[in-house]
Amino acid sequence: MEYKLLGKTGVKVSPLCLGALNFGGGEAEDEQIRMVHKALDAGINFIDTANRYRGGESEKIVGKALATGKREKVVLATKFHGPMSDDPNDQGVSRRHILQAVEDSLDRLQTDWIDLYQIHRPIFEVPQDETLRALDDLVRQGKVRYIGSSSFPAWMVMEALAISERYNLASLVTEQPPYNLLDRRVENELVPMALRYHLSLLPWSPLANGILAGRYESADQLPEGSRASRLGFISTRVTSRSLKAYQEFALVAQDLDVTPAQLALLWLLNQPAVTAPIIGPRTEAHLDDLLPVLEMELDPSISDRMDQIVPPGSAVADFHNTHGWMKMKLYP
Amino acid sequence: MEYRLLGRSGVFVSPLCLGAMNFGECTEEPEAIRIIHKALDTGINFIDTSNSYGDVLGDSERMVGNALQDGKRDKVVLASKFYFPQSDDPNDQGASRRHILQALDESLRRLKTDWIDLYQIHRPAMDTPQDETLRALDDLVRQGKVRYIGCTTYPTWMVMEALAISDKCNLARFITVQPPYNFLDRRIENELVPLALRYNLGLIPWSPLAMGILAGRYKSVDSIPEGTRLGGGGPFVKGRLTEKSIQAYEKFAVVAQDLDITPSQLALLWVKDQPTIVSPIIGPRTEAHLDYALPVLDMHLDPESSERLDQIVPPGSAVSDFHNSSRWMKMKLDV
Repeated sequence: MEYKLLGKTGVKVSPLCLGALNFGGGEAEDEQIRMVHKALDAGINFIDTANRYRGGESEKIVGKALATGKREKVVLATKFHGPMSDDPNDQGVSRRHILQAVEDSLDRLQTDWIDLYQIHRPIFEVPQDETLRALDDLVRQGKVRYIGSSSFPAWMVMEALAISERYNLASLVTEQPPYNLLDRRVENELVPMALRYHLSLLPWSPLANGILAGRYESADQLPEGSRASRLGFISTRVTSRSLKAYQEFALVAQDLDVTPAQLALLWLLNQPAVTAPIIGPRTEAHLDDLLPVLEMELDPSISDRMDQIVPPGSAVADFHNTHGWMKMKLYP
Repeated sequence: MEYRLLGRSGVFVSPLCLGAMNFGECTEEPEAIRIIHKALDTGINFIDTSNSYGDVLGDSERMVGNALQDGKRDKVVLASKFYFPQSDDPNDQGASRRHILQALDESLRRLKTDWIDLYQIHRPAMDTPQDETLRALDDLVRQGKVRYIGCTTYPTWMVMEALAISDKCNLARFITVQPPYNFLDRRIENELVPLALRYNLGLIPWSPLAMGILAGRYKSVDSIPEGTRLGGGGPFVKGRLTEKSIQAYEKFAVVAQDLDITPSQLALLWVKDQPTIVSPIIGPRTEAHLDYALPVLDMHLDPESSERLDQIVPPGSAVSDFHNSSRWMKMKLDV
């Protein structure tokens, strides 16, 4: 397997990142810990979580899974920003919250340091130097190695880089955008910017909520228990347009003799500026399907076929609907 | 009439800008000069041209220069642009210091003036480091040949990059951006408008009438009237004149009717009163076109109509692709 440099750092990460979004303990705790271990055994060394996933339970599971001497080889990423209680200051991107949130995350993760500490969403009203100065202090204290952002507009990443340079602060090395074959809009602004500044992109939702894994057959009848059947912002992504694109896409996967989910990842991890898509398996079976991608290579001619299905920069499903700044509605 | 500050400057401009794009192409000099004089008489004090306009390159600038003789130059805020090729010479284009210094002198000669008020980069030059361009423009400002600088049809992150470079290197900074923006393509509301709000950039949108689609010029995708700009079959027509854009126009026209104004007036009014907009650029081909636009100078959009219009094309969305001449926006809308 080829490990890739994380942005302009010297750190190497696997071309898939294990996302702990679905890890919440309870009955599934043993399976979730097994999944972490299985991923590490397969060569994945990059794990991403957030303080607010399952109210901190996700961080606790990851911490537990790594507690048996596995922490040191893992590049561990987490995030802050989401509300952790009703307290209006127990959230956001202020120095006050960041210094508290990092201690809480370190506790749950049972570690002394976070490798990549990310701002989960942009907050327009807070000057970015407030946030970047606090993060720089954490880097200097040794509690955080690198910093990144998530679901930022490209200009705010650019603004953050300029502020870091101007005030000589630690600068963002990664951005975690929504990006998959069904929503390629980051290719218009973020990707060219990332290429110029050697920023690593860590796409979330690479399987498009499972649409690209064939989870949904029709927009009218969502499977019981599926996330789309429970969450409105996900169900709006399951449209006749996105399912039509999936069907064309599945034919390409068939020709290559790989599963659609594998092709979705393989294509994405070979896109310019992408370092590692974040996979969020719920079950061991999901993970088993995805791990072979670590050893696959993409035939470059496949890109053209993918571009025919969803052209560069375009979208047929809206994965930018979980942050405030992208207002654009796609037409069904 | 209300005059508005031009971005982060102390200069006041009219809330419509007269664009000279058609002068020297569809419009002959005598009518071009009549249009300019009529616009100035009604209070418009803001004119935008480019060294690339005119069937003979530069003819638009020449006509503007001729129209502003006899003492009219002083009251006009005059904008022009550089970037597009002026000849086959690979260095007679772009955003290098070498080309900018040459292009500016040629524009000044055609415009018959000693200074340009707003000098704009016509498209982003992705391969040229922006400090190269900004340093040259800063020198022009210090030499007194240019008052302010701006850019056109930039990706938002490159505007931000330019502002940061100007700040860091202590250079003149962009005060304006000229994006494609109209009721059928509202995509700049996602990134550029929030940036403009934060940094006090003035936006001066091009194509506010959506190439005439919002003036009711096209009844269907197939029947393009002769003599229209889209009829010329330019490379960008296909993405702009779409079923969806005509459907949106039809609903839009109902709102105009309820307000008792023409669709083209509503199109201008809507753009003019959006956040961060200073002056939409109108590009009349004839005096009659200008006559339709002028009453908008004194109109204001009411919030109820604004909400009705948001139902037709929601904020940040697009049914027609006016970014397809940007050279960087890849997004296709009809997928």
